[in-house]
Amino acid sequence: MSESFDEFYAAHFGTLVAQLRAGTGDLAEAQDVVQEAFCRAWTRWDRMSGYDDPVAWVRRVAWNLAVSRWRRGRIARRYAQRERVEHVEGPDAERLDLIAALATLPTNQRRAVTLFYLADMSTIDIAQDCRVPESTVRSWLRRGRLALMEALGGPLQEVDRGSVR
Amino acid sequence: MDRFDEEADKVLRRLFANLREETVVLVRPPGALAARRSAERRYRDRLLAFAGVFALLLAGAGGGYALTGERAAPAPGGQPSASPTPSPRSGEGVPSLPPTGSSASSGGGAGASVGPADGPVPPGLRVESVTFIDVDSAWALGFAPCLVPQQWSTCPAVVRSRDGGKTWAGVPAPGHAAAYLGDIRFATDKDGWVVARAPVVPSDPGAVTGALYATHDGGSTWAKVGLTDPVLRVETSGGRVWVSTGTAGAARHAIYSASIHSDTFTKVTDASGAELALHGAYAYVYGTGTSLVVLRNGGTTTTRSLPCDPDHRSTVLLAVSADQSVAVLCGGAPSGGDQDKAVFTSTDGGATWAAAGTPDRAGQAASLAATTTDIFVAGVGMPVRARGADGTWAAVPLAPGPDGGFGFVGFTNDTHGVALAIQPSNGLAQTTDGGRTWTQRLPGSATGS
Repeated sequence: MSESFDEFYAAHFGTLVAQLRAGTGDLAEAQDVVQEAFCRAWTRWDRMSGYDDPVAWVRRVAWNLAVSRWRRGRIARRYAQRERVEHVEGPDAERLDLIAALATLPTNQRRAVTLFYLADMSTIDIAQDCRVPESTVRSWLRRGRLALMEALGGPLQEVDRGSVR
Repeated sequence: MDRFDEEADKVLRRLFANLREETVVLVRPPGALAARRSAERRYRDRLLAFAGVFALLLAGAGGGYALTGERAAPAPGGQPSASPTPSPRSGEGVPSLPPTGSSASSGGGAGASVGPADGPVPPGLRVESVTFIDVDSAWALGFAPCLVPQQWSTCPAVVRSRDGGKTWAGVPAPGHAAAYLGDIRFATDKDGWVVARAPVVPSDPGAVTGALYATHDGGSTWAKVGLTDPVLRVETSGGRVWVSTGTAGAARHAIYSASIHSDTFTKVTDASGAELALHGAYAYVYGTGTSLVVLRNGGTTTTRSLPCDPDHRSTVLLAVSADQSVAVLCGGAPSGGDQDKAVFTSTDGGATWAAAGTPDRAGQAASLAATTTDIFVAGVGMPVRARGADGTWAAVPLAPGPDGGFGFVGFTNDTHGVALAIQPSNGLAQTTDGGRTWTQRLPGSATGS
């Protein structure tokens, strides 16, 4: 049993970390939540190994862990903000890379965009994963693309904005 | 998708592909084994917590029922006993459960192991030293490309095996330092030492020379031992650890010893050589001359003479198979890849010697091992050669790879032995039948039957 788990781990750890890095914006955080998800997967591996797509389970757990950590962090950040003077930095186009741009998206859009581009999932699969109608996923993707292109700035210039309807 | 979506899609696919590529390179998986062990540890912790709560509930609700089901005797004054069952302390289970964590002995699987969590074997690992405390538990020291960017490119690496060398896992290596040449030795599953003799790349900013590191928690943490002079060798036996200090090739060296549980070293003697060979309470100190210092029970010193004649003192190697059963190889000056070799044995701790034949001239000897029946020689440009009980020397079925030989051969007991191929492959080969057959374990070029 451990052999199949080890192979499953080796096959998917890296790609899942890439997806969670896009979702969390932090490589170490991504590795932590993916490792934790694999750890939980091992406790039910006798059942999971029979799943059609066990990686979907691990991905969902990792995402949920990341979101829950982010919420805890947001509470802490809000408390910290009340305790200090806030300094707002001016816009710096050089720092706006893809991960920073992703961080500006709402969680649902970020998850949809990440699963679409990094997990190579279809809109139907994403809809099942997120338990929403497919039309909602398409909407998230469109808004996500638009927001990303605006945030990225540089690549946006390659696009003919005049055609946007 | 409209045209904007299509164009944005193209740009984003490229950017995400780059992100995926970059991330996969940076990812350092802690390993499936680590995930499994974490899960199993948590399961045990939950069981312990549940058992503890259950025991407390029994104690509280029952007003004094012991776990055996007998009612506790009332305290003086007719009041129930307040605390008939102690709650488990950290690291202790309730009596009906098996011990966990550091209180367990080695070799019992994940739940019974001590030391750090296992990680992956570093890619590109080259093993240079190996130590077995029994036929199952082993550690190997080597070096590999650094996993985390440093000012130097190659870092020291330690790997651990709990199944006799069949599988290995990465564990912490001592010293925030560039890769070094050295040795690793463990006396128990907790107490171990690494000597960093010399840096692999002397110009590296993190180079260390002559440092001794010790661990007493199975390699989770390592501390540098404060010895004035550079450390050259470390060996352990009979509940003590021995080190030789000084400069390689110098005429005088100091020999220190400590309990395996302590980092307080006491100087035992000076010696002309820095090489150490141990068995039980006996420590043999030698060099390239004929002086052999025999130390017994950590202190009593006797000086003997090795049987190497003046033409056979370029290479002197010693191996001990019992307290006073010693073998020595006397090697002449290497010539064109060949070397005259003469082997002698002693059964009285070096007081008298008997000739034990001359292994083939091909190759230059680098390491000697002895069991109660056989003697093994490893070296550069030669296969491992063995002298059997019949007194004849023959190559064992462990051919040297393209790098041409073995830098080390050693035996844990009469049947279980290990040989390390020299650089660049640094492969590790093992035997479990006294050297008749060998199996390649860690990556390398050596081949066995």
